[in-house]
Amino acid sequence: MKQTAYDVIAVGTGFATTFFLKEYLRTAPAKAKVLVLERGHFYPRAERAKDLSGEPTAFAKLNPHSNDAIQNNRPEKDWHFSIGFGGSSNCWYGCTPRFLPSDFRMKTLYGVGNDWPIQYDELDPYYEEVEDLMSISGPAETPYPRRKPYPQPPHLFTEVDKILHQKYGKLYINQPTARARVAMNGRNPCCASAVCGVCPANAKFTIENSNFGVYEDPRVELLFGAQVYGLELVQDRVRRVSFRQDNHDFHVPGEVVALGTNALFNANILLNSGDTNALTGRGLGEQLGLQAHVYLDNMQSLGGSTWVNANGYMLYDGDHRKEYAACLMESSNAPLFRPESGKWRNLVSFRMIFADLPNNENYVATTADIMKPQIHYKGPSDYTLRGVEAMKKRLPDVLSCLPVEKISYDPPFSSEAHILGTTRMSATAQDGVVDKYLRHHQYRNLFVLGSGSFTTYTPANPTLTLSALSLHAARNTFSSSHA
Amino acid sequence: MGIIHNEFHFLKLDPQGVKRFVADYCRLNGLGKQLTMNLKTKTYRLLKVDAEHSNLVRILTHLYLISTDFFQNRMDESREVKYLGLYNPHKTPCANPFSAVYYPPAA
Repeated sequence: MKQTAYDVIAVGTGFATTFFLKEYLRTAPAKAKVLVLERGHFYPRAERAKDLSGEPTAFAKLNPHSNDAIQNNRPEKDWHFSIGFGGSSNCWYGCTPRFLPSDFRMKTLYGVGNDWPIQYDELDPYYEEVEDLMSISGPAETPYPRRKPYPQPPHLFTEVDKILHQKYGKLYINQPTARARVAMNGRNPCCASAVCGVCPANAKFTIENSNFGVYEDPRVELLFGAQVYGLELVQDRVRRVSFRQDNHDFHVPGEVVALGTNALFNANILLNSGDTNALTGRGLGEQLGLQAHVYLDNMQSLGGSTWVNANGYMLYDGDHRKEYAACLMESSNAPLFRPESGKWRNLVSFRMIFADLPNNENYVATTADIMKPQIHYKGPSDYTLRGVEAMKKRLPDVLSCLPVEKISYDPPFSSEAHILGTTRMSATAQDGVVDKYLRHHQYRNLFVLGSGSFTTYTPANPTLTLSALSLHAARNTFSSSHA
Repeated sequence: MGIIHNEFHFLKLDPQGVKRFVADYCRLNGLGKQLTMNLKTKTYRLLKVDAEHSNLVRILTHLYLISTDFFQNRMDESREVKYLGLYNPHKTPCANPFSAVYYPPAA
């Protein structure tokens, strides 16, 4: 390390940390000292694509597999994330819908969960900014309020999508996405290869291709292979950050600390450090997703310029959320087909994604290995499972504008790759771990970033929202203090 | 090979292409996994278990057909189906045969 102490120590290099630091650096003094501790190493997208093509690459063994980094008490339930520079930007699929305004008011509107301490209107300008920074492609009309057009034009619908959009209008829209529609800022247009985890066309936004310049900033010192395991907490402040690199332990002082690993490791670090908030580590969850295959009579699903061309909100919002979970539909353009003569593409496939509610019986705990959290997860709630049953009853009617032969459902996926909860946001310390600026209620120079801060779990993908929350947190903390 | 010919008995499959696909698939999955696959596929073929009931069959048959020129030829069942090489979008991006690349919107 170049310094003996830092103004900001940030942990992780994924979306949460990157957007937080981008805002911090915008107004930070020229002599600010920032240390970024990244557990993994840089594994370029082109090398990941080589590995997936079957070509050898020296980068393949640099980063640990996510499954090896945790102790999972229920291995059939996968917790999917990516370790290395850029975090889960290296495995996400680039879906960026906003939350709906009602998602932030579950308690007030539907009597379930809790209300967020931040509302849609306050987050709106930050959503807009993240959409600009990621060059999001999206439609003119959305089920959530927006003030200006998306930076990139919308992706093309399939022929089936067009019929559904004609019937449902802004409840069935071109998916807002970080998979580019047109070439921009070093990214190529998406061509629906449908393997977006590692985009072969470099169309999907990642920290690597962001051109933000955060980690190249001369004020930033980035250490790879540096895993944080604890914080020294003294009199309601973080004094030092403890990390291990090359089998040596280091303890470095920081004025402000921002944890941006993920909901599993943020909680593990806090618990290792002696955080006594009753809700730290509790409420671990994610959405539940399953695929619905809709067989069509004499109609083909063709066209479409990206992997998920459309989002359907017909089963999402409404009073039913008092009883069962909201459901978001994703129209898949993966190259699936029916192995039947003359009916090859008489098939449309939707991923049905269900909200869940935080359950304190799902949690992260420490283990004898301070680097490795233990995951305790009983499963989705009855609220979610009722949502699945309700969907199966309602979907035929929703799709009545199509010539449906039959609908078949796959079993739920073992993961939606959206790890939520464990350090939820709240107005008071009794109801959560962090406030609306992602500052720990007790340790006031500590930010706990990312989707671990979500108060409730909507069906919408979390990345756009967690990035907007990071911008919001940094701007409201540092802009005035720097001034 | 029998599984593929069985599943697509109504198509004109290039037999050499099917052999090459199977060889390529085996190479991709390694010998140990190949032994397991042989056992399973023989069993399924003997039992005449079709794609509806077997995930392995579904994977093999899907991968085979998407690795041919069938979809590029607009699903013309009267043409011989030729194997092009294992479908791998990381090696050959933009090959999704149902996308707007191949079905652009009408002008």
